[in-house]
Amino acid sequence: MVSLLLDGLRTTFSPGIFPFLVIGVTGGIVIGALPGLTATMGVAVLLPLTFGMESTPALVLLAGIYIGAIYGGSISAILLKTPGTPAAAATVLDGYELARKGEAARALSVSAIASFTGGMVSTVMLITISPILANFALRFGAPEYFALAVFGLSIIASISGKSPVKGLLAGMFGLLISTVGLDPVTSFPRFTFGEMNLFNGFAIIPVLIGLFALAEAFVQMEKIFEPSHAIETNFKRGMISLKETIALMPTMIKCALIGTFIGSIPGAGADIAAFVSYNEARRSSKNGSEFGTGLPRRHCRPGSGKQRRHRRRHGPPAHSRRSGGCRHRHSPRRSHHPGTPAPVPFCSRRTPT
Amino acid sequence: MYGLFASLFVGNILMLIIGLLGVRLFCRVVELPKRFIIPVIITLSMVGAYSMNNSIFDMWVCVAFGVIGYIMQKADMPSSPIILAVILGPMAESNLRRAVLMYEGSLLFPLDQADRRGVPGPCGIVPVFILPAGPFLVEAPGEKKRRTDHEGRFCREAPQS
Repeated sequence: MVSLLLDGLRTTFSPGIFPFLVIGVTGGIVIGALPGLTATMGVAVLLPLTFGMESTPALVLLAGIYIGAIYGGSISAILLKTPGTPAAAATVLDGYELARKGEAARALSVSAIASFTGGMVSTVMLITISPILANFALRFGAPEYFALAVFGLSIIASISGKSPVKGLLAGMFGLLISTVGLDPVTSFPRFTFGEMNLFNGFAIIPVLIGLFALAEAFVQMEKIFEPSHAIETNFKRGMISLKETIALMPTMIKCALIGTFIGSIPGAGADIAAFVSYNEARRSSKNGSEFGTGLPRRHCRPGSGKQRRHRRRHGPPAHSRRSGGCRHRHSPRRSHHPGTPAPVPFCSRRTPT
Repeated sequence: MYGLFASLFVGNILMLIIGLLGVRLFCRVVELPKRFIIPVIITLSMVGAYSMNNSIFDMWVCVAFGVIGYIMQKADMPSSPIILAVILGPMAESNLRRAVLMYEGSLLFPLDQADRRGVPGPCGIVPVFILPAGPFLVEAPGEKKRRTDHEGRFCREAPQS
């Protein structure tokens, strides 16, 4: 296998392939950083461009976009409180707080390292145990999905900040919103008030952008004419030190494993993985109560969680936002999941990820 | 196939390099005056909301949730639970409905012993429904102490230190 991998490396660095990887990763970071352009969408949009290409460079380009976009999503989440992808919503919690403290550089570097760790771990898992993960994922039935969703909702407890009551209120409001649209079993329209556009329910992307980016923009507008108290970015303290990185490694790897596991379940995307990882990081951390106030550690978790998700997506390609999913679309591995619907480039509103 | 695997590794390394090199560049965004950056954010947000489904309606949804989010921030309410609920709500709902159908209308499916699919049966699933309530019912031992500040006064928020 090592020799096969080395062979693969040779292919990767060949002049016909490597430039595509660089373009893909760079372009992916830009796509990910733009709100509304998710990793999935970037891949979907560029998919037609790859039709005329050989299969290897095309896959490499798409994989590069996916990798870049996942990291890109956290850049805008950290700097502007505008999660570029739904998966970065968990990154906002601490990343933006860190940026407001003037440690944007630190937050960004942690997030880059966490994304890297997550990506590496999930690639190793993809190569080694993906058939096992796929088998496991295939056994997931409706009761298990429901249990997973309930478990996911319990994470509201750890992301509500100081007041669990307010967090629960917000969570219930969110659940209420999610009932808008056609009933999933009988297709009875609920809370649509005869408005055709509501039949599909609220799409996650506009809700996400509105709640985070627009709301933050409105808040900032109050102070728009005050002399800019622009965040002072302290570059000396800026980047994360090697020592800190090593200290964060166990968390990142653990979150990466969680992410891989959750991501391998069809339908559970990077966003769920990120929140679960965040939750786990918070739970196992000694100063969990400081989470949400801008500890670097938190940061990592959503980051590496996302990447894990990648992986997960690798497993069941259906809903994967990450390039993982996209890669799968083209890969024979897809056959592992006969039960899952083929990934559709233009996702339905309900499952934009 | 292995070319793809290898390129995943190399792609991640590239991402790390570009990411770390770019940190300084990205950070300059926050140094821009607000009156330039806010219109850009709003424009990009609207474009993003539109582009997902090419729908003007989604832009209005986005604006509406912007206002809701603004009010929530003013009320000091966290908005991420909404996101989590919107992501998980449809998944919870449709799978609950499907599970109930599978068990012919019985809501007791978490207790099913006949493990049809080789997934952990009751022992695996039941706790999932019980555990979430924990944090709301039980207060961690250290938590209570933090509710009083240094002078021992009772306060709603944990002291900064």
